Amino acid sequence: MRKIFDKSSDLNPRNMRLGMYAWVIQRISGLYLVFFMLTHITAITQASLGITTGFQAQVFDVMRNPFYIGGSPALAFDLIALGIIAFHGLNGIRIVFLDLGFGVRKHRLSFWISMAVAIAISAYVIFLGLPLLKSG
Amino acid sequence: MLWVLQRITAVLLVVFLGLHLWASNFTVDWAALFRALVDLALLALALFHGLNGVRTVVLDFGPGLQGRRFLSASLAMLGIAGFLFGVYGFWPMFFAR
Repeated sequence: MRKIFDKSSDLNPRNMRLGMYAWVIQRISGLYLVFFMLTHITAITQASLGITTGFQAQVFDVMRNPFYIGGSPALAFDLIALGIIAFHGLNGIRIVFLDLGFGVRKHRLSFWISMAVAIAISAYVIFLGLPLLKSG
Repeated sequence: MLWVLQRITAVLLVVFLGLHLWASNFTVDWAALFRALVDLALLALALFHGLNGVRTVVLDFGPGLQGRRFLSASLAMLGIAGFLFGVYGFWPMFFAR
């Protein structure tokens, strides 16, 4: 592997500016979401086939114990993934527009706007989920 | 070609993810077919987009020809396997009432 953190490297923090940070975070969040997707497919498939305790029972378990089922973080895992999905999707839409040539001069502003929207979406979903958790 | 597909799946994913979160809260009967179609599309799109993204990340590290072949073949197989596994899991949820 090349020395990716050399002084002259684009990935050396001293050479990195906002757009490069956005690129790195997009990559890392993308890789995390592949991991999340595979665990999500596995969990849903196993639950729907009744391999654990049945889908409905598992959903109620999540509602009763929002952060831990059987010692593993469950709902917190999904909520963190949701925030990362919001970031990755909105930053991705911004990248599609930049590739098409729209808003290239405003790329910093559009980054911060997409971040604000991602935080707003995460906050709204957590707000929607709170009554469910309390009543569970 | 793959670059274009990556963009198209990206935009479609945003659309279908919205439909997925919305349709997951339906309780009426006609929603079952709609949910099945949305979830199957989402499964295929997400697997393609995610695994092609992994391929892009690894290709940026510059593997040799054999490595690239091995990478593309194994990711394609993982994608097909993941899709079949997901359909297998969806089956009782959608069709066995």
